[in-house]
Amino acid sequence: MYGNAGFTQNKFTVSGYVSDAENGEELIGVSVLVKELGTGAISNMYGFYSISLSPGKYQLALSYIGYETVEREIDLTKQNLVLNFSLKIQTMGLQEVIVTGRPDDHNLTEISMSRVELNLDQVKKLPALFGESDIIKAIQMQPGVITAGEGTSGYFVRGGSSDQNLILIDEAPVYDASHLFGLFSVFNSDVIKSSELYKGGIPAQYGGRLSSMLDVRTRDGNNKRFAATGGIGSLASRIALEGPLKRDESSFLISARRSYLDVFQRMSSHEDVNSNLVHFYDVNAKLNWRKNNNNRFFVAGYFGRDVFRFGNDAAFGWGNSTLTFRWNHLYNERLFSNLTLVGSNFDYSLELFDPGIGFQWTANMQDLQLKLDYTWYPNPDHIVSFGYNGSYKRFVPGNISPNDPSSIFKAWSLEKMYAFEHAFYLGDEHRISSRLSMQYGLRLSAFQNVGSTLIRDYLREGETGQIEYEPVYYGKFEPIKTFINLEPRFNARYMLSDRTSLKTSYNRMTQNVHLISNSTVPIPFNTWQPSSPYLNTQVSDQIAAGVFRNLANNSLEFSAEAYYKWMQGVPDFADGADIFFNPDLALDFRPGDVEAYGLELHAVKTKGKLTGSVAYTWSKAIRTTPDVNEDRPYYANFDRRHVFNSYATYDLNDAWSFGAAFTYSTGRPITLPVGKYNFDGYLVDVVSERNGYRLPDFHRLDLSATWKPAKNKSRKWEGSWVFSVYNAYNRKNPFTIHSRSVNDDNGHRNELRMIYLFPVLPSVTYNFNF
Amino acid sequence: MRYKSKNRKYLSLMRYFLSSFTVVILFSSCEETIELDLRQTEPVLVVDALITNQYKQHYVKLSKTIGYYDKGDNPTIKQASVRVVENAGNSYDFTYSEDAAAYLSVIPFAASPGNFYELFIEHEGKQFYASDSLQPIGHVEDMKWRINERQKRRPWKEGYYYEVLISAEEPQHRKDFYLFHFYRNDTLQRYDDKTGLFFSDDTAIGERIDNMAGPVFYSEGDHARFEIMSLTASAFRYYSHLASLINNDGGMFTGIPANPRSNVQGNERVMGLFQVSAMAKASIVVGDPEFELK
Repeated sequence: MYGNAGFTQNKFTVSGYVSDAENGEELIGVSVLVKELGTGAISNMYGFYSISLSPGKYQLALSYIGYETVEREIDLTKQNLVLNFSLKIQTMGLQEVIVTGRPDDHNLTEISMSRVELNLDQVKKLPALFGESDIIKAIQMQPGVITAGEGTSGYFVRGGSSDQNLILIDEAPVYDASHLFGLFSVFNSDVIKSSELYKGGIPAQYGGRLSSMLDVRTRDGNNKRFAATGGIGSLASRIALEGPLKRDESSFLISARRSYLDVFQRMSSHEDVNSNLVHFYDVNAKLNWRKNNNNRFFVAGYFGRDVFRFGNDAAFGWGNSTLTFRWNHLYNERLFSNLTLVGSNFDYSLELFDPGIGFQWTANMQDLQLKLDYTWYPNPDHIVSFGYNGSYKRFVPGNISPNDPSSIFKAWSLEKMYAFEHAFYLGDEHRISSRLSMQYGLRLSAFQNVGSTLIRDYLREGETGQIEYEPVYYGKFEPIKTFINLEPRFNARYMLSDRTSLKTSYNRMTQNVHLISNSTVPIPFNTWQPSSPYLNTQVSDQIAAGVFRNLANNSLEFSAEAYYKWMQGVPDFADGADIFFNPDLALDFRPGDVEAYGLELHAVKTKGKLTGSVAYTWSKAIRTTPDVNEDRPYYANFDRRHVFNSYATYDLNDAWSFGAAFTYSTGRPITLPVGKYNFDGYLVDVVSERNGYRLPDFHRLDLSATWKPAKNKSRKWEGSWVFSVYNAYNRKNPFTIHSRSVNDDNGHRNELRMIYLFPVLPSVTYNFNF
Repeated sequence: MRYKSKNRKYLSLMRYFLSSFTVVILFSSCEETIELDLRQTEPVLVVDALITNQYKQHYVKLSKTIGYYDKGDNPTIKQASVRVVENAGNSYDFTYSEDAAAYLSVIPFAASPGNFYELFIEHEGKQFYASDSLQPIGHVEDMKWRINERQKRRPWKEGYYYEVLISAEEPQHRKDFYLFHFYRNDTLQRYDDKTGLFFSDDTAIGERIDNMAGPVFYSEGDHARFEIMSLTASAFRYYSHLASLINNDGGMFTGIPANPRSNVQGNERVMGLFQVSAMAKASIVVGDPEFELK
């Protein structure tokens, strides 16, 4: 009677939104189970669910970790039902349950694999550099994710470079997620509602980057009452205000964060310190309006900037701003739609103040996007998604202008570049039996590099020793080159038992925006370029398989995943290329191949006083690039054979909880000198094959303690202190090793210098909410 | 640190960040000299050759690379046969001179604008070949000196706070590449507190270069000489690679260190550069009132 017979005939639908009873936040991933059938739905990223069933009476059970389970009998004999649910946070004795989230066997039953969801409450209790909790640092502790070094916000997923990570904040792309060159990320953990990382098996809805997607969503804002959260840390402070504009219907959220290094710097009597001023800030703002069940609107913005000033000599800075408008519309109970308009801007500037060679250099890129996403719920066995994603991108790689009349520089620009990107996708999440489910889809992407711009058509380097080219001009929106790709995506999950599942996935991803960087850690002054006559689409294929097993009433989750990934067209540069302000950089582009494979073991404890994660990754990433390393294969800059990451928090009582994080990894590859010679008076190194050596192993232990003084019952104010110690046993972890020339009384020689960053660093942060 | 291409400017900003920010503000980053057990490569031929438009005996230096921790200079090769052929038909033989520790052209000559030069080396039965051409150059219009007040407050070395200023024309109709040499009392300045390699292309540089300050500081009475040399695109690329290597941070924020792409080819690995340049120069005595910038 029930099954695949007919997609939608003779069925009625129960649908609605699920939210938190206390603050009205829509809840993502709530299980809505039809008890009679043992199947159901999961609320989507906007808190919406829809289930179409044959006429009859059913028992619905809604469950979400940390919330009270709600059961409701529904009558679907005659008509469709709209049911919105508000779930209440479960209280267990005196102690608040802090672990909340999806159903506790979700890791087994979801079709997705290679996906990590961060537990934000736990992230806040973990030790953090300068006490500033940071989801990027937590991402870097996940299996399959590798860092280049501490204090950087770049990360590398399954052999992919760091520009192959799509980072979205409320669906808007963030091109540089770093503050202070990566000491912090742009994400203010106070306003984040969910954050999840896909390392593979990425659904057809998403595309544009090869290796991962980090989807960060901010909170909607409390629509029941006014509330504030904030924190005072040793380097930065933050505050978030939220509340209803109209109770239950509309809400706002605004948060701000600023570092105050510069305040301390000004106090210093040392000229090098008090004239070199550094700060960053960011602001998140959001308006949310639930007009009715069929129409919900939201506008969100992010603005952040870093500012560095070195006395009267130099200044630089960079910033991201994004604006998202979203409209969730229900055409009917079974067809959910989401329209998103996104604008995003990233820019940076460098300035040298000098009468003779003063200049200002600015660069930026903009992205305007339209996303139309539809989800159709024909019956509980299918969730069909389809849509369109279009964008217009503008790249301004560099403008230079003199900032003094006597400067030798003239106003000059690198050619601007433009592109259109279109993608159509269709996917289905298909429940084949109670054991087997599949998710398959196809994404068609078309990327078009357009004018107006001037393309240099290079001639052979002539005997004159000049770089010669024919300039070819393209008018506004005139197509220069088009790249069309078909990207199949596939995931399957088979339940071996109610405690064990097997999963596999294959996905092809393509990427048409490329970060122009030849360093290990990207810096904000790297520019992006579109695919063009000199840069092809990057393509990656990944297959992965894994075993997932839960023990002890789903409080212990184990997984083992193996992957093999091969990538083509990954840009690198000929050895020694000058990537800054070089109009002929195209001559140095060298697309290469990457082969990456690895095994990831992960254990997570999700319940109880002690919670945490232990992850071990064995992986390899090997690149082959023409004109690099004499065309021979070499290890990627971030290739680390063994990575072991673990973190845990322990709630001793209502007042005290403790956190610890330990990381160990094989040293990253490095290129070192193997000889030297004299050239025109310079003592020059002969360097080894690329990445022919490794830095020593990296390991570090961080500790934290959170103290929550007993709450004064008559007041709403709630405060807590987080004490943390970074690098508890003061390990000297080399950040890098470089060679330099010294010419002193002991003669002219080259020597190796090792740089290491952070010694043992204690910090205190005070967090509050009311 | 000035005068270098935008790459160097950028690097100096980065170093600003790394040194001032990391060390002073975070009071935490540390740096120390270490010794590592490094492999040693087979010795490789190094070519260091310069032909200019000056009428003189030009030089070709040949040597072999040595181990990173080896003491002393790399050994000079004295038994090679060296010849330069000009596309105008002239051929110049070079012989080894102990005094110069280099091969010198047997007869003096001056390279001519637009001409193309080929270098032939034969050593231990192996052949090496390189070619380069002479690009035109303008002339140095003016050279002045002045006191740099900032340096005077905190000189890198007692008394060294005079800087020189150069004025020149930059032809805008062609793409030019330049190498700059600054001499203090006839000594080429490569190292002060930092390694300096001064070169530039003319990207973003205007028609007039007016009183651009040099990177070297002088004391009163010093003899200051400035040379500017034209480079071909490939020689410029060599210097650009050389600068990235010399100023490398190990590949964290800069590119991964790599051996500069030589324009010399052979049937085995070879390093270095065969450079043909037009040269313009100027010199003054620092402190001479006639040349003070007012």
